Amino acid sequence: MKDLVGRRSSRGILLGDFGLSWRILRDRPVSDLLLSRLSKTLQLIGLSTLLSLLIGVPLGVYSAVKQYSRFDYIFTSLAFMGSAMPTFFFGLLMIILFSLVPKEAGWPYVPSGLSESVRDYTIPLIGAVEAGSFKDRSLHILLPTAVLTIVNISFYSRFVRASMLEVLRQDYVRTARAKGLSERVVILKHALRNALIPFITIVVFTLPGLFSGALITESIFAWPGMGRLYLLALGDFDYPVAMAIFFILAILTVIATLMRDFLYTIADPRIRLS
Amino acid sequence: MSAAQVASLSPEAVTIEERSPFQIVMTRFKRHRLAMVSLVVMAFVFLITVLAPVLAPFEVQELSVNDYFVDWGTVDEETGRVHYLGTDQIGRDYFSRLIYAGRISLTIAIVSVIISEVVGIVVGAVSGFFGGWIDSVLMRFVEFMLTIPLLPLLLIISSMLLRNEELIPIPEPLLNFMGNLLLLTPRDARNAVLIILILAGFGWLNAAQLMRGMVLSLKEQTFVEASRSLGASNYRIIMRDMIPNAMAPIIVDGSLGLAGFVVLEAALAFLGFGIQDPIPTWGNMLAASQEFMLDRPWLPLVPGLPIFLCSLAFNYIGDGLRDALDPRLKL
Repeated sequence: MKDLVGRRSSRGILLGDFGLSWRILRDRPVSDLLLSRLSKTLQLIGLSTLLSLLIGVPLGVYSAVKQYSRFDYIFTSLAFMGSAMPTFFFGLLMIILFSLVPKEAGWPYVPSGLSESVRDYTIPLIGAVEAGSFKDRSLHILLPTAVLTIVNISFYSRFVRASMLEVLRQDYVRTARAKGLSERVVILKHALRNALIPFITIVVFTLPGLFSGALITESIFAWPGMGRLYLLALGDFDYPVAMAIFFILAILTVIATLMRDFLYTIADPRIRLS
Repeated sequence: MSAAQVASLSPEAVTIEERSPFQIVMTRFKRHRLAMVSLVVMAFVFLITVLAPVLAPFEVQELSVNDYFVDWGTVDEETGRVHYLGTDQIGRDYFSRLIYAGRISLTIAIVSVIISEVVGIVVGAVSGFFGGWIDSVLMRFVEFMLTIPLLPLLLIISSMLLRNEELIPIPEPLLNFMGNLLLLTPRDARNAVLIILILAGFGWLNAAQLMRGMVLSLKEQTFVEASRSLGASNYRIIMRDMIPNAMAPIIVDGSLGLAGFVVLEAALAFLGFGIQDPIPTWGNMLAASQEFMLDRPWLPLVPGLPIFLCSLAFNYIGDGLRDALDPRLKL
């Protein structure tokens, strides 16, 4: 044990000690590095998940209810394209469309890159923006959130649509209609609730997977979050940092699996944990 | 029409012309218009990449006498060859690199899909057919692997493998063969083979699960029982009864897998952990263009659009195949 004193080892990850960084912040604890990046990633993932659920679920439901309508047709083709679109290309397109081209033309543009700017700047119509202010930060989070949100919407809404279509065919929906319930109650109360049961599984289970999407998005927008840190660590061969992030991901996966099972029993009381 | 009238008709009038399963699938596939368009587009892209050495006016590594970033359509003064899309940041012909990159990206995707489907079929068939502890061990392993987020795992593995390229011994003839296929030196081909191994190493999991599911339901069918009562061996039952009947989901999974692998390979290269720069791929060309897009906003479109196009086309083809092979199939 004496030999270990002074060596770069950790006291144990159970105590939150992931050892020391080799390269990125030489000889500083990995946990410091992680904590400084964690909030940025949570901002990005939290905001985009919330938005994509708020937009994606109603879209999917509406599209399923109006199956074979023009809206449904346009929506399904767009969602199909969205799910085939690589995140990295989509991110670059968004930068070009909303940042580079308008800036060149002297129109209002959205800043791309980093989570806040280094010095003050002015945007046409919006006016002067102070570096590091709330306005500055919300302008910077706009593009990466939009990219993640749109990618997630195309995935979530397709799933909601499919499971809604399945449920709408069921006998109990016909019964509800036959009872004379309003269409609104039939869809929102009888159909949607049942359609959301499999959807919960997907949402909870993709939470760790969101990190993969965030990884690419963060790298394109130079967003100083965990995903970018992970890439930096791998590029510099700073394995303690990379391993720590990977370990956190693994734990998140286990938690997500557990949560899925619990939520399942809440959503559908017939299922029992055994 | 009364029964007597029907009986008086010639046999040709009452029976439908017999068609092979392939013809039936093709008729149904043709109904999916976007899938047909995708098939034509992909055939065209394929042709271009196969003919890359003929079509490309310049060599991949060749530095232009002109400066870097020359405009598209510039003619090389000495030889009269045209830079159709201009040159890149160090003066290599963009068009030539693009079609060579296509050859490399598509070959990697196709080889990875073939390997992962074959491994998936074997593992899934063995697991489903024999059941018992073999099934438990294999399927728990597959489920375990599937829970890990794919991209971070691929990144960490490829960063380790690319650092120690010699870690996995790859036989020389294989490297030579891949080098000839990809028009690379055997040394550069090692990088491509490693990426194929990494992609296929995680691609077979889904196919294995699909195959196992199919085999489990086929095991209960009477034609398998008939085969067994005729004295067929396990090997023969798997090869002749199980695998041909379970091909529908595997084919669909394969064509969707092509889309996935094209994007995944590009993502790895884009993030700097895939195929490295002197070898052109769409992913690392896109990554390189990112640096210069402040001045040239259209630059990322050149390597980016083919990635999107291939991904979209393979997805549509997969969709069409699913509708044609088995409309009830859910993937």
